[in-house]
Amino acid sequence: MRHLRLLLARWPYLLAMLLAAAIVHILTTFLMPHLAVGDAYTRLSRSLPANTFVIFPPTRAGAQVLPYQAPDVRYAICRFDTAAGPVVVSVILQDVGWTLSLYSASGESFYAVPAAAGRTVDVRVLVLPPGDNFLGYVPERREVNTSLTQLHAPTRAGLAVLRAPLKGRAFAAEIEQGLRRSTCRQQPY
Amino acid sequence: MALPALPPVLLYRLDRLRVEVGAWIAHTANIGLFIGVALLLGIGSSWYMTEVGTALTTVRQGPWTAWTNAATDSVDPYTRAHFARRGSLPLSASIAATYEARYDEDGQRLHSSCEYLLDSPPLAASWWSVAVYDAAGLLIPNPADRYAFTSETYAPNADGGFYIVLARDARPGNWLPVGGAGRLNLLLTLIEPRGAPAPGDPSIQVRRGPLPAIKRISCR
Repeated sequence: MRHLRLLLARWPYLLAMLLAAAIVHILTTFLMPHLAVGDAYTRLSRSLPANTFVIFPPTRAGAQVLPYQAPDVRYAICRFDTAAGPVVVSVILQDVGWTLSLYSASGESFYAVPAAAGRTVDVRVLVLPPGDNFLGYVPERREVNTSLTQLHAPTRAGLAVLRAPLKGRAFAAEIEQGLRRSTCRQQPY
Repeated sequence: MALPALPPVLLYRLDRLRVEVGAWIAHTANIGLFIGVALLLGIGSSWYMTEVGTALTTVRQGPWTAWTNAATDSVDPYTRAHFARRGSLPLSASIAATYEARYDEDGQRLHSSCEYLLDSPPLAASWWSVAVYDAAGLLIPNPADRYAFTSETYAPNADGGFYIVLARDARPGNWLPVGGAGRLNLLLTLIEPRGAPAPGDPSIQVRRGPLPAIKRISCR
């Protein structure tokens, strides 16, 4: 009881301590993604050329590019960079389980599409630089193909990740061929 | 031999100095305590919310946990920090549900010194996979290069469900080798999960279908 009274008597001190803890909490949480040197984009951007899909071999122990990388999936990854113009990502999702995801450099997926059962899905996406809503990018002015899905990337650069599930050796060549059909090309201004 | 008596003025000043030093130490200790507790509470709570997650950011179903806003355009700061620290590239929660398990049904940490049975009803998704990693998210080396089962590579039970055994030594059926890995993490990925949406939230990530139970069989 005596201790409680002592604590209550010091409530401004305790309140200030909680406020300081809340500020530390917010700062830590928001700074963590910027301080994390091992985030996926940083790890991959070192080894990937810009605006080209790179097909990775099947994931094995000791040869992982990222932690928690799926061992049952083949990856084709393109590091897109819209600094010199929009980028067209074109893939064919040929079977159930195939997915295309576009990630910003900060790790958020701003576009994701799965394959549909029983048919192939042709996906063509025009990735535009962030912020340019009008100047130079309207289809009428730049003759951009309006059949493309147009997206503004949240960051100038990012990753386009095509995932293709492995189904055993009999399908390996077919999957490889499907991955090779994917393209990631810059469309100059 | 008796020491000579100090002059009263000096005694007074020494006493004042003692009091002032004492007050300074108490003040510094107070500030130190303030900063220490604020840092501990702030960093500790941030670590908990980004590493373990809470009901605000995760869905729990038995031993399985999924981050509901993983890699979506509405990602919250805790989820973003979680995946940035981890260095992984999760599938967007708008097309897939990715569950992670670190504990068995009894709440014991999954460990390679034990043998586990994943007992699953048919999973409601267009494609799924169960993969096993060590605590750092690395695949566990084994001569068979076997790290996962998917909806296309597993041996089903008669009802479409399945059993997967996690063990050091070979087992018949769906066996995932875990020898020498230490602590284990399981990752269950469901692409386009089907199931009842949680009340008030029709988004795909909180659709709750049945998930595998993780039963400990034995430990060495």
